[in-house]
Amino acid sequence: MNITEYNNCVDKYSDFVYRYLLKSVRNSQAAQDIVQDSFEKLWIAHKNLDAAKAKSYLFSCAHNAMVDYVRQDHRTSDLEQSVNIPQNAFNQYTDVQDILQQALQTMKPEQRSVILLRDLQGYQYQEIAEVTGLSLAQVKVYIFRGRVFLKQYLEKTGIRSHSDLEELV
Amino acid sequence: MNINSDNIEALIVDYFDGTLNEQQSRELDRAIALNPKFRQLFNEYQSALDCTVGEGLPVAIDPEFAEELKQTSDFNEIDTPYFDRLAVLVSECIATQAEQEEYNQMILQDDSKLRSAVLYSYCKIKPNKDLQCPYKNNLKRSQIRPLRYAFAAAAAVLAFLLIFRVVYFSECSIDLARLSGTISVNFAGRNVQVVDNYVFENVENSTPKQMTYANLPYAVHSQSDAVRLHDPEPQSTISPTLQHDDSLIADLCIASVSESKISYPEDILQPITIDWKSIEELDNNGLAISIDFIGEQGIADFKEDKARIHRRINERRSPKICVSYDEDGKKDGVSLLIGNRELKVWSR
Repeated sequence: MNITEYNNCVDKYSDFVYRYLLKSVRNSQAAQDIVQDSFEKLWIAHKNLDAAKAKSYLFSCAHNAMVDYVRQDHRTSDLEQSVNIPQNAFNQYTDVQDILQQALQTMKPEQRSVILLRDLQGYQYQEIAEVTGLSLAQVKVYIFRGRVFLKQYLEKTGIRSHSDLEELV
Repeated sequence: MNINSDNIEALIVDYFDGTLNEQQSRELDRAIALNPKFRQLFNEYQSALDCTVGEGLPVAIDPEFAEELKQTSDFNEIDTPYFDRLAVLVSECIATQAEQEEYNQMILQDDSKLRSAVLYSYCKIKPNKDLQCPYKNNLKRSQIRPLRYAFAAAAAVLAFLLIFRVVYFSECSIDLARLSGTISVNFAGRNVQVVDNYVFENVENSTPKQMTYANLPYAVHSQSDAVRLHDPEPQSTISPTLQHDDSLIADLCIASVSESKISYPEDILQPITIDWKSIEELDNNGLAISIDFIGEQGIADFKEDKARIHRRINERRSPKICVSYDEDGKKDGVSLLIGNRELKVWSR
């Protein structure tokens, strides 16, 4: 990968990486720092890296740094904590996406990562496995559990029917 | 084996792991029997082992963790209600035609499943495209040119300037400020600057500052020009008169130096009145008085072929001054070497 391709990567992927990190760590400054670190690692490796692999490499770096950050910062929340959601809490939100964002924060980091990579970046399962270092089977399990968790979270906020959703949507 | 407080713990662990040989075990037993501190450590470790080995083992690992350890290769192998499995497959857009139809049937038959299906359909996170990475331009890199390129560029510029200077200013190499050996002589109340230190070597009592204009004919210059006149009062007029020494055939010629050429007047033998106003007009290039020892024959040659002089000037063959000394070490003669010709310019 040459310098032009590297700069193209910055243009194409920096926003994606930033969004992914911001949703994962919920801290703009930390997300920026990790973006910076990830691109720094990409730059260090750019001479030996194929441009086609740059995105995967970049997200791998970002993911690993994010996991380290989350571990260090103890920002993981237990699933049980999210259970204590008041009934009809959905009235506090203006958008389903807001509820889902809240739900993401209560997810396990691995689940959150695979869901974000799947939904935000549209990665295939195999790509997610490469980025996160998980096995393909683990990725599928996390995707599945993540979806079920999000659905349960929506239920817990009091959304029971289509009309409830329509109120928000 | 030396057993001390530094290695006793490691030895106790090895002892219980069964990695010590027979002799080491015996030595450890002896050390424990002799040293109460070692015995205490041994007993503590043994009791700790008793707690953890056997019934002290965890009953079971976290079921959820155990579930994660399972290697499933497909959603269908995940132990979960069938409807949820189908719902995820549909929301992930990886359900087969049959699964899709079955799913549709299930949600049509059961309202609760319909509600679940709706919720599943909203479970996808949408990217917020307004969210952009701040300062992302700072992440970009610019081409780093190796330092040697900068050196090469600097060298090229330097070479260019040198060549440019040689080509365009070669005839203007008479730079008074550059010539540290410039000698100022007083001439009729005016300053005469003579270029080149050795110009007055042939003149007896040649303390340069005591030079007078009358000595000028004796002054020898190099082809890189000789005498520059600088008049502190440029409005005045001076008419230098040549004085010829019997022993020396010397003549004064006036050469005006411009940037590109040096031109000589037709008749180099004619005394020339220097108009200081015209000197001023010549600006920085000034007016150079060139005194050339070319001899009678040389004068004839010069008249025939001025180009030779030009060539000689261009070749910058500087005359050399040879001083001869007598037995007492006193100066008794000065000769001037121009090319392969020797001219006696002064003798006692």
